[in-house]
Amino acid sequence: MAKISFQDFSAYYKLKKKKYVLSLNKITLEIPSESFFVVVGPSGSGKTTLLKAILGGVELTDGLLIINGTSVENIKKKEANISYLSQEYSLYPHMTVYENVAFPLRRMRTDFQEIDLRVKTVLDYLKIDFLASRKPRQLSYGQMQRVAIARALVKNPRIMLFDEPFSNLEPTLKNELRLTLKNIHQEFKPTIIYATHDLTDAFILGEKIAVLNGGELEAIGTKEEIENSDKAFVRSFLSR
Amino acid sequence: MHEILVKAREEHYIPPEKRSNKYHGGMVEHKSWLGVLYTVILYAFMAIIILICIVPMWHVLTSSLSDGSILLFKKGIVWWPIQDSGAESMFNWGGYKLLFRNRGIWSGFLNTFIYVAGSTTLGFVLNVIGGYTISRKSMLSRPLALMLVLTLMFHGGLIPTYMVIKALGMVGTRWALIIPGCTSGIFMVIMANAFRNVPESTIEAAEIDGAGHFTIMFQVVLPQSLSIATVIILNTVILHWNSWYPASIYVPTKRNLWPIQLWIKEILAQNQPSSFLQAANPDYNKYLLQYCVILIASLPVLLLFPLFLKYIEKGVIIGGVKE
Repeated sequence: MAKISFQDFSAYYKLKKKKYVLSLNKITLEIPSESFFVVVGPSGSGKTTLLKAILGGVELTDGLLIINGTSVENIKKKEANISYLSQEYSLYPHMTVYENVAFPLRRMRTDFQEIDLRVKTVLDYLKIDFLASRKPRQLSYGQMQRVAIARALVKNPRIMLFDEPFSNLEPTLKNELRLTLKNIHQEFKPTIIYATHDLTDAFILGEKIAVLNGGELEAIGTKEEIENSDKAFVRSFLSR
Repeated sequence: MHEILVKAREEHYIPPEKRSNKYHGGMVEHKSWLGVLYTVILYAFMAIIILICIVPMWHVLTSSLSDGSILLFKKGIVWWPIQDSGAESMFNWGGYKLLFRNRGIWSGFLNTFIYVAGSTTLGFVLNVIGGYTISRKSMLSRPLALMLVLTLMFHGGLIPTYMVIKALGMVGTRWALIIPGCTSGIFMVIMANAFRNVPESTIEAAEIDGAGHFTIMFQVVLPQSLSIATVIILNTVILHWNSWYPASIYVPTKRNLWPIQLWIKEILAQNQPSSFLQAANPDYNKYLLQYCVILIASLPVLLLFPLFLKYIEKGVIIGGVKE
């Protein structure tokens, strides 16, 4: 699917005109293809910037960010086939659930029958087919998040980015959706990058985990490797 | 603890058959006398305002259905159509018959429809595009917004505008009444403010889904700002429906291009009787025709209002309430 590699990559966040703040500092990181990769760290550690950089949405960068052998600046947004999902759901309020999910496919000029088939399959897979004709305001938060996942999944993306998607949800629902994400990963094999400040999320979901602190990469490894890390920040972050 | 709860439940539980089906408006069941007084004053005040709006319209309607010769000598408000004592019918349709026999009125209506439809459509597209451009964070958005605000305060004036429109070859054509007045800087600024209320994350999501600027503009941002857009459309419609001045400047001699309002203006304001009014002999019909023509001209806009009422109410309160 898609391998992502950061080489000495720095990203700057625009504060105001001609004033930038360093958000990621010389990160070198390999995200293997088809892996479930979790980026964990406190607020302001650069998690969102890392995801936005993959989307090509960071204005000022330094170093290399290569997706499947192509530098990110050379990838057109339309051709990137990346899905992004945040805690804000960002559903289109004037469209029904069906139209929301079909929206990315319509932009790709997919055949009408193909759209219908894929949307229904995804809605069915996420068990929200009965919501198809409802508008977002008629949904619960959990249902909204499922619709957002459906919209992200329907275009069969090679990379899926999740930016603290479940931080607003109650624990039972969170567990349910974690399981859904695991299943999606096993079945469709996209490269998933999941940013969170929640260690439970990281340890349950991540095949590999990276710990960020103030824009620097503190540690990277499996759950066990992170737990046994001797870095002071990682130890203090784990003991919160 | 459990026993206390059970007891409380037993004491306060009202079985479904005993529950009142009437909603009392929350906890307060009876209004205080001050509350009643407040309601009475409020209703009385609203009734006065409604009367102030309705009475003139009613006066025009009843006058237009009265006998012209008697109406001429009637003073005050006409509460009911007044007829000659020997009249067969309660209403006199003579004024309307005379009015619709005139070709100018029909062509005026047709022209007004063309001008309103053309200006509103073109203006709407420009408002959306302009509003969207200002609402997005880009290098051009601020200077553009500044220029638009400047047009609200300063403009070239009548003669320079006329010269520009003449140089563009539009004088004496329908375009002079469609293009120049189709939009206004204030509409674009209002539209931009409505677009700014759409969450940035929704726009980002659309970009990631592969939407370009036009798709975001017309399929994502605009449908979420429909109430403001409707208010702007309605304003443009009313503005152009009531407009006669540009026509009197740009197409003064081409009567076949006159909008209805210019015909009305001719009927109402000109002292010397036009050929049309000469045909409407005897003289008192001139008086009756005024009412008929006012009513006919305001009817379409009046009928349009209830259809858009829902959006207008929403559009008026938007910006004040954050959903």
